[in-house]
Amino acid sequence: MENKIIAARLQDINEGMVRQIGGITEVYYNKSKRLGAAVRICNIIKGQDVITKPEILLIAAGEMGISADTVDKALGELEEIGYITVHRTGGEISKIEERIPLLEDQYSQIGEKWQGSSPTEIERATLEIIDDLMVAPQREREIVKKHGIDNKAFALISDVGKSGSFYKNYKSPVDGSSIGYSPLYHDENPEKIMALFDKYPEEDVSGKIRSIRAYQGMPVDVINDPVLMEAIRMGCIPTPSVNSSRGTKHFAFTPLKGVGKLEKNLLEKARAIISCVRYGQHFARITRIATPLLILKALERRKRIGSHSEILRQYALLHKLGVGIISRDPTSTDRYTFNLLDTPENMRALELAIQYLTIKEPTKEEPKIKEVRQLFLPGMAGIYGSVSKTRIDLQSVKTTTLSDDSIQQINYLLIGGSSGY
Amino acid sequence: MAINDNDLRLKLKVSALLRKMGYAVFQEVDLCTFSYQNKYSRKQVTDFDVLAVLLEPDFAFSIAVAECKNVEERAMEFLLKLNGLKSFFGAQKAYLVQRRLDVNAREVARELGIWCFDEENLDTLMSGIGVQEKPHVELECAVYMEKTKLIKEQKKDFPKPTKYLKYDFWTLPEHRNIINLMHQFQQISDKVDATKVSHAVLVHQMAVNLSVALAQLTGQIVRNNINNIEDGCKTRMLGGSRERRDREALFDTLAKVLPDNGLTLSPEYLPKLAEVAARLINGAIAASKIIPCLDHFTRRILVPSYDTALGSPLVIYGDRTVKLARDILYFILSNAKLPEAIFADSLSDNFPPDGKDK
Repeated sequence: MENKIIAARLQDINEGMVRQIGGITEVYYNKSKRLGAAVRICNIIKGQDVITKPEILLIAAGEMGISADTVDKALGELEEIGYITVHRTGGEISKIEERIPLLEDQYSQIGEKWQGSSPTEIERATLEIIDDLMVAPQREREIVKKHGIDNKAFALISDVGKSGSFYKNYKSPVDGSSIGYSPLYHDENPEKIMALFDKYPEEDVSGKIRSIRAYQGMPVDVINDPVLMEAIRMGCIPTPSVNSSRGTKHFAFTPLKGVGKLEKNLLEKARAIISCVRYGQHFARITRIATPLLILKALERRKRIGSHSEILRQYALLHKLGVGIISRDPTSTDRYTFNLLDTPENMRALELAIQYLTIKEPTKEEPKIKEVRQLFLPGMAGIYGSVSKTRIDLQSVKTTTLSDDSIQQINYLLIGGSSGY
Repeated sequence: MAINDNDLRLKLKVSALLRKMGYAVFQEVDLCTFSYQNKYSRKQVTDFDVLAVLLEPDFAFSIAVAECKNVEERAMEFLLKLNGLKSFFGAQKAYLVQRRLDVNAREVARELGIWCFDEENLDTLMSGIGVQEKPHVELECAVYMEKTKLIKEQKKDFPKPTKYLKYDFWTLPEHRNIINLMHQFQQISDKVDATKVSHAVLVHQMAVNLSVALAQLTGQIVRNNINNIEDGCKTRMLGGSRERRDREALFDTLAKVLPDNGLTLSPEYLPKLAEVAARLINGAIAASKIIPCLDHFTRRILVPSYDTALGSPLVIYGDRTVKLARDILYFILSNAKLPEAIFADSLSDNFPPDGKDK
């Protein structure tokens, strides 16, 4: 597994991992627990430069289910990578200076650190299985065989996964076999994909589907593998289409479903965004796009693409999905601009599209990330009430219910009060 | 501390004054050129007493130059030289300080936009700005004396970077300075002894100059397209769009003639350099003080009581500026194999270590 992908999966499963205590997780998942927490802490503090009130980080992490002890260990890992420097006074953290890359993703080095930390075989197998299940649910007996693990080890992974809500199984209504899937990425019982596995029992179907990940938004015209072509015909692989100057073209993506209606809509939009720029990259008649990532980053900053004569047709799909609107360039008769509608949903969809091009798969959104990041804004520290708001709840987790007294105490710390008083 | 050299005394007063106004101050600057007269060699064009730079939050630079002379004549000669220096550096201000200045010279200076001070004038302005003999001028003198003592050893151990800072830095564009300084860091890395003050000071002085070049580079990126840092950084490091195009064409030709030659077009630290520039842009107000902050790190190595007299960098510049200054030190450490101990005091909030002078 690539380092980037390792870190992305560590992040995905960490929410369920940090809420578990007990011998198994402490013995077998120690490194994954703290490095997954490290990725999530990066998401909170990236770009802050200096955190002079470490207690705010503890509150923010606590809201995300990461305990103070795990934060401490995760900070140690980040310090070793060189992403932060922790200053201590009398053994207590007095200040954190952060240097998490702003222009590149933070995943590669964390994945590398995990690799270098000699993770247990159980940890390694867990990540590989979860990454495999991201592509598609599979029969448990095939999972065991494919990843070369014994039944005991698999039972352990299954237990931790179930407790952490990143692994589940169900009985197939067709043949009664036990099918494993990750509720982080798929709903129960995806019939079409199981039919595909059944049709090609000798082939590494998930491996072939996963090959699309190397180039998300791959033009379907260039795919000639019979398994993948059948997968497309059966509708197992999403292939949104764009119709512009060279006719209708389809683009293939790995079949991550996303859980819940809102997430599915976001993924549909993200894939549409990629498809439109891939069209410009592969099929445009005039001035082809050289680097799709630069176009998307520019769209993120400027909320606009163009003007260009092909935008009217090439970005019509995004117009239809409500990602943006197309307008005529007032200085030209045949040139158009695409203007992003700057809503939180569209910005998240664009973020996912950028992840498709950088870390190859979208990562799960931290449910509370926006709220906890706001704690670091100047003037925001004193208005803590409860950061829990309506959000996509991926799983039911137990969070500490805060009494009025507790909220008062946290508020006291946030406005600069000293702990212990 | 008594200063017998009166030129020096004026120079230190002006330095203290400009420093109090927020400038980072460089003394005894030599301007050199290289020419082919018989052989390719360096030739000094001129030298002058004080060059001060002030970085603004939009990454514009304000530059001041000063000549300080303990004489009563030749004011016109110095004025015209200062006017040339002002023009050469695009300086916003120039100070001529002489023991006595006649009224005609003052009139010409006013026309040229040059500030004229005799020592009494200078004392009046210093008083208004809050620059005092003790601690400001005294500290300026102490730092100068300590620095002077170390020059011989620095020249002996590391002749190339010492010469570079003195003769070349101020005549080269920022991208050349970054490349040259990083190269020098890499060249000296295995010879640097972190226990030697002269080595620590030189490496810090190089870091100060690198911060000037880096701030200039960031200013170029900001002026060109603040939202395209990576590409802007690459273009500037390759000398601008035209130069980049030509170099890329040359590189492509070479790659055809010599495939797999291991050559690269841009330095390997370019992504990290862009990261530092992004950090500076991300915290522009705090970033505008990184040069004096790094200079402070250097000065307190020379005079360990510096913090006690003036305050620590954290107090003067704040946490974020100190952190951004440290980002530059980490950038140097990650790209040159210098011993980390060389910057240990500057990367820690506790200076001097264990509360003792070095």
